[in-house]
Amino acid sequence: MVLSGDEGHKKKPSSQDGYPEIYEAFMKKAPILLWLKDTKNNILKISEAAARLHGKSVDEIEGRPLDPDLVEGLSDQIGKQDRKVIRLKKPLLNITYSWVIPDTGETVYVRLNKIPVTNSKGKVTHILIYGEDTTEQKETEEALRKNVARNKALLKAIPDMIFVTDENGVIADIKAGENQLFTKPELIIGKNIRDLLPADVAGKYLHSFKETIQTKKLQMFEYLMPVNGIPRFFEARLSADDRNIIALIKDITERRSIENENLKNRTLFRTIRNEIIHSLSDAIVSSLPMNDFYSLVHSGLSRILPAENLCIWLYNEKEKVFTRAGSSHNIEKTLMTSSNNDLLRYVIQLMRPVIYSKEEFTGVIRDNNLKHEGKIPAWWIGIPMKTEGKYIGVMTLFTESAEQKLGRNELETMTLVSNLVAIAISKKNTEENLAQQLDFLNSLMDNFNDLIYVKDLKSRFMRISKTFANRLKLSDPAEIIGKTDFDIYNESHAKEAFEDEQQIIETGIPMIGKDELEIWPNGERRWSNSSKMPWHNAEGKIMGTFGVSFDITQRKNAEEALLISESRLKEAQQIGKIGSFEYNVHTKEFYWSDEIYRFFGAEPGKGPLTMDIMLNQLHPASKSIFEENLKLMLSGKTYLFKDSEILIIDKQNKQHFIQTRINVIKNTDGHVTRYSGTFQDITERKYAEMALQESRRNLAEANKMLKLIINSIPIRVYWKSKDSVFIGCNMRFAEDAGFSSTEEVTGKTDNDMPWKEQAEIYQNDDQEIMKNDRPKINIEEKRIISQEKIIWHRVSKVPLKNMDNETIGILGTYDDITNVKGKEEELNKKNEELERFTYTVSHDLKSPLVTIRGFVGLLEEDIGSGDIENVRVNIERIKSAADKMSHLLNNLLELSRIGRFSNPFVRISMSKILKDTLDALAGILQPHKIKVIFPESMPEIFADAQRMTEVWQNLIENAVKFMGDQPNPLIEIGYTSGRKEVEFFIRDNGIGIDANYHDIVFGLFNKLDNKSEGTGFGLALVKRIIEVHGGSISVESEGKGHGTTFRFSIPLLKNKQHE
Amino acid sequence: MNKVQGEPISILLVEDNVDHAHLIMRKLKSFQVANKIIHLEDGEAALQYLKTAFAEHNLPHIILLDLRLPKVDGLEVLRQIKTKPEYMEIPVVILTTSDTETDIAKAYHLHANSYLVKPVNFESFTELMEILGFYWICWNKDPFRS
Repeated sequence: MVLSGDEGHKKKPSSQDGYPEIYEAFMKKAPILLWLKDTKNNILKISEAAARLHGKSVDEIEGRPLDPDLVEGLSDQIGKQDRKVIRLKKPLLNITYSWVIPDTGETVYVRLNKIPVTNSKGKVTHILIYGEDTTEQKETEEALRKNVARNKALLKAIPDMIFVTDENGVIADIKAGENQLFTKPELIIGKNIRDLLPADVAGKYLHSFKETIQTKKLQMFEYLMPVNGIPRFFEARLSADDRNIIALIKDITERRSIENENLKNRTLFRTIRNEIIHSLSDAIVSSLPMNDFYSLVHSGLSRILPAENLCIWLYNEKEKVFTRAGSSHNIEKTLMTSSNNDLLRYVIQLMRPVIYSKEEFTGVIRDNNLKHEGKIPAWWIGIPMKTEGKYIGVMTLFTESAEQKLGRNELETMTLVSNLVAIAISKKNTEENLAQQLDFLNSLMDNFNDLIYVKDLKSRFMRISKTFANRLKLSDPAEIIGKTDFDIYNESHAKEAFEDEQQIIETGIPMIGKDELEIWPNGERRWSNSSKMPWHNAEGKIMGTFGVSFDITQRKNAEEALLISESRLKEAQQIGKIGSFEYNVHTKEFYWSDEIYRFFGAEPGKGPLTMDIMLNQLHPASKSIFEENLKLMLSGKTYLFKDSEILIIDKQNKQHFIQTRINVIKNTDGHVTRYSGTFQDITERKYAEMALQESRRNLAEANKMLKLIINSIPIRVYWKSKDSVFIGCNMRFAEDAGFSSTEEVTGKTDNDMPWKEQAEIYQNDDQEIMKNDRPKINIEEKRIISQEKIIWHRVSKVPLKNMDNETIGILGTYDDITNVKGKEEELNKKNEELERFTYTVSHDLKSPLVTIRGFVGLLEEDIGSGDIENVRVNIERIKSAADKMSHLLNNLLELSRIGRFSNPFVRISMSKILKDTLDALAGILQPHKIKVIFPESMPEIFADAQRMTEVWQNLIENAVKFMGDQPNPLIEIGYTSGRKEVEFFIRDNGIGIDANYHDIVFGLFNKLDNKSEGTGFGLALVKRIIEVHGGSISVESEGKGHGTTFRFSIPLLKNKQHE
Repeated sequence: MNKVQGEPISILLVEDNVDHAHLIMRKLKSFQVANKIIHLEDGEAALQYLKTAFAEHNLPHIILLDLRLPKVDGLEVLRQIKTKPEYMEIPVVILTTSDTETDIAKAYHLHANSYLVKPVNFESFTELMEILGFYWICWNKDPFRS
């Protein structure tokens, strides 16, 4: 089969030049995915690695059409692409597939190139497909994406919600972040947390509130709570001042799920498996005797499989029986009896690896009517072995207990190993298809899009692929023969490659998948993934090396991006002053991020950060706590630091407050495998908190002082809201309103106050002041408390304004000025009295003077005219006026004495006073035949006895004077006892007084009748005496001819010490 | 000096002090400024007199009024005279011993036409009576006499 028109490479294969070996190594050992198809979709050649993607062996695939069920929906796509390649005669490069391996279900990513192979006439006869498994690259990219996400999460270390509550859980304020836990924060304020959260969560909060307030320390806890029916994890951090608790809530569901992610490490398994495969490959190459080979299979697989129940059965096709390969192993003795031939034959008929659980195994036996004796295994694997198109045996593995589950890994490993076993078996008989293999190799060399090269023992190029030659700008690949890497690459790479190759030649161990940086002659930097293998001649002697090199620059770039991303993460930690660490329980190794080094004053990367260094940086107060916590944590007894905030003092004597947060990571068994945590420098926040507390304290102090002042001043202070509801007041106001504390006043209105009758007036007044923005300052207002009690207030009201100068209420103050008012009224009375006196002096006293001077003048005139008669009349008038004047002056003097020069107040009997007076007045009463009626006894009072006598004397005289021509004159005297005073009265049946003149009867020198006797002094004197005794006097008369009644009151309890 | 002639002139003197009334009437008579002087001793009597005089078309031409009067006070008499349309045009001269500012103010507030204080000095008293008589009776024009 001629695949290439290049005659130079079309030479007969011989065992001497080693091409079959190269072909075999290439097809079976190199991690190359390779297919050669004809134009009818038949797979002619497939590499071992590619066959694994089909879940079949090479022999099952070669010579057959591509299985249409290989990948759902993929075969159509493949067919389309193939037709395109054939039609256009152009390669299709870098096609990416996501590929699910049949049976195992594992998803891999592959990147393939499709190359049309033409014959000498330019007709496309075949399609060469090759490429690489990019799963790892995908995983790297995936890791990069995750890293970026984590990066973001760290930078977003902002709480999702902050709320402020009191100790009882009543929410005072709430700020929700973008991740809103409650739909409407404004509805939450004022509510109790008990009514908002599930009982257990609310309980946690309330308990922690108490703790926070008692310990004054930050409290932290996590809880699980459904939000919209989905359970989510939250972290609450609480801190408290005197009254309020500030809670910072963070949704940590995502962080939790990352932490709990199963970090099962498959690397170890894969490494061991690769070692087994390598050692078996080497054994094949060095033609190890078959029994030793079988032993190697067992010992190797026992490292990763329950290999005591592993068996290799060889099939004798003629006799249709299986015999166990190898002799030293007593394997499958419990399961496999003579009848097991049925089962093994069934596997061969299936032509594919199988894995059965107990139930499936039983089902297969039953459904296919297979003879089976002995135990039913818990798990069973059977792999048919095939070489050169013939089935040569079956490899089996079983377990007895269900816990020893066999799965994808075991199946995959068994399949890989079974292929090697088959190769080893077939190697004995290899003699075929050498020419074809050589042609294929040539075709490969011409068409392979990556670099292939063959070197001799001295690392000189023997052959290179066309692509390689093109890359080197050689017109003929043969030009390279005899040259070395030193002629192509820079020295360091060339030297490294040379040393690798020499080691392969020396040890015979292939180098698989090494990443190398190549600097090409044009200065281009490219990364390659190189695999180099020794090639042997038929005698097994190493003849040189064979290598394949993939361009992985793209993948490397992604990896570099990952590195950059990691360094960004570091930067983010530095900016956020967050340091992270990890502690591996198994290896007892710490990983500290750079920022943690900085916390402890150590230089990142300069020496390990030991526990001693850390502890030395700690403040003594936090050292023991830190040490104890760390010990507890390392012993596995606790997962969290007890005190999440620690104080660190660094070498520059700077204090750092560090908040620690440590999480534990368990494996699926529940065993602790790692601790990871963060240390965050919260010094700035801490200082800000302290400053805030300080300012709050100052404010509280100022408030206290203000309250003290307000309660100490003798003025009543209150303030009301815009709608006249009391908001606050001082103690004096509260007392006036009848409350024992100022708090009771809050929320009340004037309608709730003792002065509710006036509430409307006051409230209208408030509104008026607020509306017009016109304060009312020092207005005197009369308050009628009861009929007896009137008090006076000096009131000021001003509108209350906020910072924006908006009226928000009213501030009122008032001062009780009742005493002042009383004095004022007294003063007014005195002034009136003084005025009356002045009037009297200016009018009544001047009057006689005018008379005297006038008649003296007339006297002179009359004497001049000799009118002697008139002289005598004039002299009489003068005498009379002078007498009147003297009388007036005496009366005035008398009146002014009252209240100034008075006798001491003593307990006197009114009865005795009255009787004495009546006796003294007998002289004027009897001639008029006036009858006087008075009570047997009268109350005792405190009074000036002499003045009281004058009162009765004047009143009785007055009654006599105005008796008129009454035929039965009568004077009636009596009293009424009140609670506080006694009211006396004297009634006559004389001429009476017209209602018009009631007001003026007590006026000084007022006479109602010019013809009557007296000076108009008596009643003025009586009034004055009564007033000095603290009482009052009034007159009543139904008019002329109806008599007159005078009533006067004297207080019962009069202080003896009066004046 | 112009001689008063023709129609009879009447003066109403309201004065509770008979001595003062005697002095005033003797002086006014000696200057012959009035044909007729009616002396009353209290406010009530004065108001009653005016009522009767109005009915008889015999109102006084001028009223000399003391302030301190029994029964009805002088200021009240003044108020009634000056608020009743039938009397309000009669000139009222307050003649009293009081020279307090309040009395003066109150009197003028109630539309008194003049306020005179009785001088203690007899010569001044005599002079005032002369001037008063001439001014109000000889010189002053009122609606009742053209």
